[in-house]
Amino acid sequence: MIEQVPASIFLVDADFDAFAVAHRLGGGYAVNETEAEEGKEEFLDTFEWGLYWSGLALARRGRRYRLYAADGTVLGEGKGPGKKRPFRWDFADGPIRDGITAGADIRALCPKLQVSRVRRSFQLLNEDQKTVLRLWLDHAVVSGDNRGPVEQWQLHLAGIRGYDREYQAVRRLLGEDGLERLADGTHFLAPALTRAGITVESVGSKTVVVLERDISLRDGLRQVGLAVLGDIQRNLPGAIEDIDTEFLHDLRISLRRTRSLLTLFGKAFPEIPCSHFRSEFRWITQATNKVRDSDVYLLKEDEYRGMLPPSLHPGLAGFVRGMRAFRGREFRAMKKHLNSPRLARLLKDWRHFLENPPQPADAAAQDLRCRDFAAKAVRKRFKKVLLEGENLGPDSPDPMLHALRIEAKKLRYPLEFFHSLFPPEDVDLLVKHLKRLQNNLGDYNDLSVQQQMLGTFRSPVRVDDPRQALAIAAALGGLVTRLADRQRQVRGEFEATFADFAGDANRELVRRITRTAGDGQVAAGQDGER
Amino acid sequence: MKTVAIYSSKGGVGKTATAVNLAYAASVSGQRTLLCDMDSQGAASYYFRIKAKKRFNSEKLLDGDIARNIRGTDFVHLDLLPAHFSFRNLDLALNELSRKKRRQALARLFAPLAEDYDILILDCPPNLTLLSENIIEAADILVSPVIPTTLSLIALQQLLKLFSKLEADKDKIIAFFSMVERRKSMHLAIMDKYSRYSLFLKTSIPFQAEIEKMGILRQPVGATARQSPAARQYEKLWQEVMQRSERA
Repeated sequence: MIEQVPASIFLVDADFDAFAVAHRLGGGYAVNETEAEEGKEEFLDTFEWGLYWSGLALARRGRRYRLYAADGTVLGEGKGPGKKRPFRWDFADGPIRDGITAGADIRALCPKLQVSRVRRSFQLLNEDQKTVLRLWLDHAVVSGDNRGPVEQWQLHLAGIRGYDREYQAVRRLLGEDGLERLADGTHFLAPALTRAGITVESVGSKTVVVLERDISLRDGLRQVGLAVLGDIQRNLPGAIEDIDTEFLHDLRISLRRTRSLLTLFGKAFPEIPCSHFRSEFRWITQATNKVRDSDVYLLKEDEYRGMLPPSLHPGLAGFVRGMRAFRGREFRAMKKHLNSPRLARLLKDWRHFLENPPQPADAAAQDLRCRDFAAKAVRKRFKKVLLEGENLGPDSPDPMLHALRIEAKKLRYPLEFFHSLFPPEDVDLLVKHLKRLQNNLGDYNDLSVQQQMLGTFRSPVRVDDPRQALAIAAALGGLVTRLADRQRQVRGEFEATFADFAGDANRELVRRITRTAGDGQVAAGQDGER
Repeated sequence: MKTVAIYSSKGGVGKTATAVNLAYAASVSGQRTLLCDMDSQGAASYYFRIKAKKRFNSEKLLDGDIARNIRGTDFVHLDLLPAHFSFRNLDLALNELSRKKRRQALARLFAPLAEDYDILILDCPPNLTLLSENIIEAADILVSPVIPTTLSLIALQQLLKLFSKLEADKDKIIAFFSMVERRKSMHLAIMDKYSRYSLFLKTSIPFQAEIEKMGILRQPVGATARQSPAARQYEKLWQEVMQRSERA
């Protein structure tokens, strides 16, 4: 491996003179201006700023795209898709498509900011007229977020392999002038974004809530509920607009989390009525089921194709076409629900409930501390997982595995909701181990569901051509066989995965987590119970 | 990383111009390219205005001291390992290695660069020695410029013989007509006779003043004028080399 070429960015004034650099270096150096380009660039990124966090930026002018590294160097450019929100797979094979793979796997690239930019490019030449350093002076005007346009001048230095002496000398020179240098590794868009008031958050589907240590149970649940409601509202417009599959996926995660929170709420304050919310959130979750199921099959298209011999690929293509048509129909139905006054009212009422929760009549319930409740919930649910899992043998029926999967989920929710009340390293480790178990159970369940659906050997929409129907049936038959093999393998891995999870190390972790959270009082009782 | 050696045992056939311009064409197409100037005369290094470090020599090269000596050219995606006068001793240095190591010394040397570059172009000196055997071992494709003259064809025959002797895969060899002067009837006759062999590429490079001027302007023809006939011809040649290498 060769060393990376160094680069740095300085914030400079409007009157910065690039030519003066050569004079100040002396020794036969000269600065040559190579080109100046001017234009409006639209920067695209995923909803969660996946490219930004991967140290990239993707800009376009019309259909000409340019991929930048975090230091502003151009990694690739070329003609790209004309869509408003393209996906990675809409780009032709090449440096842009390869480059964005890490930051934009299955998410759409959405317009994030408009930058009017004048870029002047310079070269520092040595006495042989060889370029030994590249410099760009960027004047960028960023359309801000309610703050009006923001202007900025940046000087980029890009070293050239083998000419580190010149790079260091110029960097030193600019440092001596008192120019502000962005910390190495800072994204070149960062200062402009900050000044324009655009927040770059990588929130994912789960906002992490930091609760005060002694917060009451009522307030704790309230704050978690509001954060999850925020996740719902953030993902809802993207799901309605069908920007990419992950908006709906994340929306569903937030809906499930809300329902789990309602269960906890009901347990903590049984006298406060919230069954209406429970049934309404069940309704809206169910309204999204079919679209998500279709997305799962469509996202697996490449994987499925890899499982089948080429002779069965036309049948698979027929199935995928049918699935797309089915999804289109289901999406229209779902969209009506997502746009409905009923959902708007539900979210409004739920927010009102969370902001003004009724006081529990019982004085003891009013004094309940969130961390005691959290510790108890984790302990109880961990015990339940162990119990369900220990009852499972190699021949246990699928519903028993399904029951364990649900219990594992129930344990995951309080660990995430009340994350801030537990010792962070311990809880992260437990979640990591729990995820491994959940992945095994989840894979097993997904494979069951897929086999059931594909095992109908039919396209999800009607196919009149009998030859086409036969080709689809043959492809699905091939898939079911392969999925059944895979499922047996996953089932074979269950015993060891569960044994790892149920080991002494995790029992000790849970003891530590719950003891710290509950100040040891509840934990002592728990030890006696076991 | 694909290793492309530009090789002919005959001097003055346009090897360096080919290496420099093909490396440039590769880099313009977005491939991370390293040009290795193995000719002690250092013409490729001269074209890019790059001097080797004073202490860089053939022994260091064979010790694996390669990455630290790579230098960036004026062009994005194009780096160069400069030549050094002591490269004239490269054969002697290879000879001192054990018989077992000798033939694969170069291939082993370049292997660590595979992650950093898509294309490695070797500008080879004109000879038929142990270094040639090393080059044949290291290269995925061996591009041989042939002036449509008898002497140049003899050099190609010698190369084919060497391949037979080493039992190397002859499909690696690609030839093309270089420094073609269409006003010369001998050039036309030889091209007519030999271009039917699949060994020869369809693209040829004409004898042109702008290629000769590279020595004055010290940059690839495409960098001086991207749309010039010579630049376009080298781009075409590179595309054909790539297509052929995918078939090989």
